Amino acid sequence: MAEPAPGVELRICPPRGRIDLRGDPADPAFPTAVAGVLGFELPSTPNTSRSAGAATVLWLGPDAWLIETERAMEAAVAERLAQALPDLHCSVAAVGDGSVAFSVSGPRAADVLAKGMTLDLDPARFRAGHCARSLLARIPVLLHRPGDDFIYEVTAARSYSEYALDWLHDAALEYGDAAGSS
Amino acid sequence: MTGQPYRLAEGGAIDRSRPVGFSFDGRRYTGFAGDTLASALLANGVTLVGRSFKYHRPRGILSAGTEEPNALVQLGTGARGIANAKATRVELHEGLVASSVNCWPGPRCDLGALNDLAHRLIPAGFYYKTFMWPHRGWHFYERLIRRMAGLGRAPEGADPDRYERMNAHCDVLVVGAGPAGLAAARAAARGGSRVILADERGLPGGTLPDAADTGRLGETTAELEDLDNVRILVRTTVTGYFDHNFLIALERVTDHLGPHAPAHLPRQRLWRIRAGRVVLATGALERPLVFANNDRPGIMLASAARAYVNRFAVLPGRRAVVVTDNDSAYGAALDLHRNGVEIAAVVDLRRNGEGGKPAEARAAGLQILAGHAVVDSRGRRRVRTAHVARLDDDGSLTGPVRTLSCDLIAMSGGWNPAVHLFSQAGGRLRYDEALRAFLPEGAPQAVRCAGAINGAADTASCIAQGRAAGAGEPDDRAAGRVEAASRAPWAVPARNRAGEGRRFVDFQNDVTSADIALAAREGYQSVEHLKRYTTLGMGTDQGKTGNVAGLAILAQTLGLAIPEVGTTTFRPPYDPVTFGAIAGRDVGRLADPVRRTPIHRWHEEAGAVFEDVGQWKRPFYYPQDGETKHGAVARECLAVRNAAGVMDASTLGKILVCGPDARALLNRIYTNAWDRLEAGRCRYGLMLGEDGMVLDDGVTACLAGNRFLTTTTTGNASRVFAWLEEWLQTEWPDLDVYLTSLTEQLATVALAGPNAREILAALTDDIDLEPDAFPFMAWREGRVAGLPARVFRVSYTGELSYEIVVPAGDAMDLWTALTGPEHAVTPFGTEAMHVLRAEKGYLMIGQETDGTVTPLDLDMQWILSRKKDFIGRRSLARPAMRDPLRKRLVGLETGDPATVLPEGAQILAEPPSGVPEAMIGHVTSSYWSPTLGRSIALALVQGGRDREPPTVHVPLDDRTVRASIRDPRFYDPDGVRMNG
Repeated sequence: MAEPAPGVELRICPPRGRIDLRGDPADPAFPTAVAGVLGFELPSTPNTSRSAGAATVLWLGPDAWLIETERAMEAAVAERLAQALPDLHCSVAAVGDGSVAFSVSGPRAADVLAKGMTLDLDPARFRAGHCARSLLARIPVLLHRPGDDFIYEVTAARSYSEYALDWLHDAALEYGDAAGSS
Repeated sequence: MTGQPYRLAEGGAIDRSRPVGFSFDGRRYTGFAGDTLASALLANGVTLVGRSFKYHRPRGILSAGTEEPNALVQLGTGARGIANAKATRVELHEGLVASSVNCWPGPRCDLGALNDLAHRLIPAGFYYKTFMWPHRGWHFYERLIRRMAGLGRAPEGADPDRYERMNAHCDVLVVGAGPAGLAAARAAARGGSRVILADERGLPGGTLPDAADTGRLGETTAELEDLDNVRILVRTTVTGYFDHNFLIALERVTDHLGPHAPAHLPRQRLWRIRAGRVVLATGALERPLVFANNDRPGIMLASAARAYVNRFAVLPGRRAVVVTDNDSAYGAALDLHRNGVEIAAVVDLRRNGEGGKPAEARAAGLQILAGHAVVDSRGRRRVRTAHVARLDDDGSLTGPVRTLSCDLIAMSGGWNPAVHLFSQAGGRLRYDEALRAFLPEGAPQAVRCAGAINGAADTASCIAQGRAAGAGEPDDRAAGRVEAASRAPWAVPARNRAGEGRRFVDFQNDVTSADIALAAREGYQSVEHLKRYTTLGMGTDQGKTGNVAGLAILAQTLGLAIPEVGTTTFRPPYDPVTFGAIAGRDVGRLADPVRRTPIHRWHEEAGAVFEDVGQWKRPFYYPQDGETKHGAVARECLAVRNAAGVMDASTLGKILVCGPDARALLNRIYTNAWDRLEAGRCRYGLMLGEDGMVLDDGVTACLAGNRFLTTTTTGNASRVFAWLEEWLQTEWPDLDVYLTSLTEQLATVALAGPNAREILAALTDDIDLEPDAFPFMAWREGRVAGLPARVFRVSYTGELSYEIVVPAGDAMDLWTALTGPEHAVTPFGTEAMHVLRAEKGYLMIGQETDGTVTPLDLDMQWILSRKKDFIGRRSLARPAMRDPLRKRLVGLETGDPATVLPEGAQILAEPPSGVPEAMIGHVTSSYWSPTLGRSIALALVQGGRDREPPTVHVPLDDRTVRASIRDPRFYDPDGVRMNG
């Protein structure tokens, strides 16, 4: 039997800035101040992301978001947020060094992930702009589908990143794994 | 056709253009693509396939499917060996190597058959009655019995195959791709649902005997294959049905390809399916009849005989007796007849051999013996004769016994709906007297049954029920049911009073009708007890053919109705699941996740030996050329005491605690007070569980007014984070606090030793390191080696020490700068750290504490605030916590300074005298202290340091070591070094 055509491509995403943001969306001052810094509203629909310019914001919980920026922008955005929210009860923490993102793409990308995730990854259910924290195999990850393409981003804790990549390569083996990087 | 004397020239779903060579018990045979091992063996005239479990009776092929109790074979060899594969389900592939199980030297001549001759000595419960005396004897008997009783051989060596697991979601899961299942899948798919259709066979289409019907099903299959919203899983057995419509299925991906399987595919895949709705179209399994010597090779289920002749174009015999208590076997008789099998007679247990089916058979010229039964058989390696007698009105035998010569007895004792999964789902079963079967009742979850599982006997009813179930519309569950002969006996009576000839109910476990009656007489009257006592329904087939007859016979013996006896519990798996498939890819290097610090590569290149701490890999010690562990640890310890060392402490848990109520939270979580901790300072804290036992410890720094950075031990990082979140979310939602884990974001390097200040001074120009400006338990922000850093002046070694915290991405640069040759800094691992802290008498969570140790036991009253409440405080007030007999932390010094006690060693007050005596404590930590040039140990001992006399005894395997209790601070008890 011939080698199967590559059904999955795995890549390590370049380092990016990340800011863990906590705050009370019911206090109108908080979302307003954040929108003032980001230039757009925080996503309020559970498990969705919103993106504009160089920033993407992922909904992580009723009072928790993850802001993704360019690596070089992390400190500046965190600083501007902290300044815009001086008297509010909130938390702003730069966490870009704490995790590594992988891109899993190709026609069998969802199958690779489904081997280790119990989420329903049907493209019609886990749609563009959906995100969720869940387990991949035996580690916690953040899964994000940024656009309509079959590209999934898996963000894993830095300490688990070698295991995560190892696991993804292994899971992709039967579909033919075009590794962009390893 | 040479070599396949029982193969028909035409027909069947086999490919005669593709011969397939295989071997069985060392002999080579040829079958065709599309054969199962069973059909290929029958085509070659092989009817004797193995020996039974207990009596080693010659056995052949009973069925054509998963229910097979007899035809178990060993496949392959070595690490790829498979025990107890069902020949009826093994798809033939070139080079298949199979052999019989449970016989030696072979199935034709088997020494274990001596058991058969001695069967009167080994009735039901034989093991329990015989081998329990003398009491200790079992350990001896067990070895022999295990060898004799073993069924198949376990594979040898590590499993070389890959196994995968897959999670799947669907709106409708259809189990079984026969007429009902295909109709259900099509109806659901046409309605737009996401459908998974799973079937254990290699092709959808079920087991319909009629080729024309099968053709129509092929059209449905083709339609389903074209739909994007349908996933068809063949060779996939749904084997477990759990709550919330969660089901497990095993797909045999490449088993049917043998050594020709593509390397990139797994051998098997375990599906974990979450279904909105489930349609069970699992069909029904035919029951054997219970008569004397009903287990000989050549005696098979009528449906199986029909399947072999129709689907595989194999004659299961040349002259057949068909015996039945229902109409379904007439179809088998006619199909066998049409294909050239001589039908000696159709023996119908029912008195009235009327109706459409018997008439059809009569018209075809078949002899029908209504009101008769097969009462016995003869033939050792293959059945030779069937013995037939008349049944009178009360079901007893009457008149002469006729002998019919034959090489095939095709029998049907009715049908058991395959309700296994329905029962696993929590469904109730109802015994239907008219159908003589247990039927699914109600709907425990979102599940529907369709087809023969409901008792439907005709294809049209199956399709109608399937369509309705798939579409979610109401249906007629009772459609297509055919009444059974309610008066036919469950066991044909014995020919004479001696009751000669065993009548087998459970073929795999050699359970006879007499065993069931015996068990009932001996008091095993519950069906669950009966099962354990006789082994009825155990083994690889779980009694799929024999169970119902078995419990009917029990009911009859007890004079009860069948529903009063009930069934045993159906448990997963429906069909055995390979362990490899359950493990999936969680094997080898992926067995457990591994966590690595940002400095891991450096440690590796430096030749560090790693220690597993939870999932983390931490440098244990760094051996230099030829150094032993002892030598390396001693060198690292002395370097820290005399110069300076660095340790990667990045694995410590770090939690950002932020909000107006952050101090209030810390006050409640920790035993000490946090009101006065200023920005720039840090403090050691101890947290307890509600039971007052020590949970964790660590240093917390005040970053700014309401912002704190808390550290936890490595092993408890996630537990402590969850603990804080739980209190905040469930008990104290009024506290305004946000927690953010920074464990992964921040890396920590500890620089310790008398030279630490000097070294750090060379790497920073914006932090004033003078002791007055930067005292012990303070922290400063600045640049270290050009990197933005927070520096904490804390110490776990007892030396002057700084913990430098940087973003993880900068950790390697920091470490490289610190370990540069100009600084003469020695990297040290966790073992040196353990020794250094033990020299100081510092506790280690998980070593000195084990969930039963309070701060009082540790002589840490100083850390318990009297001015506020905290978790665990009330528990500490219980009188038992002040019991003088509680074990308390002490230092231990052995009489001989060279003796290092083993950790975990028990402690006695007196030298052992040979009689059992109370243990008063145990050693929690024990090391060689290179600093002190002697052994040191920490221990938990009753009475603690107040114990009189202070001498205790530690019994080891070969001697007893005397030791004395002392202050656990062995080194620098006043802390001059770290405060300096």
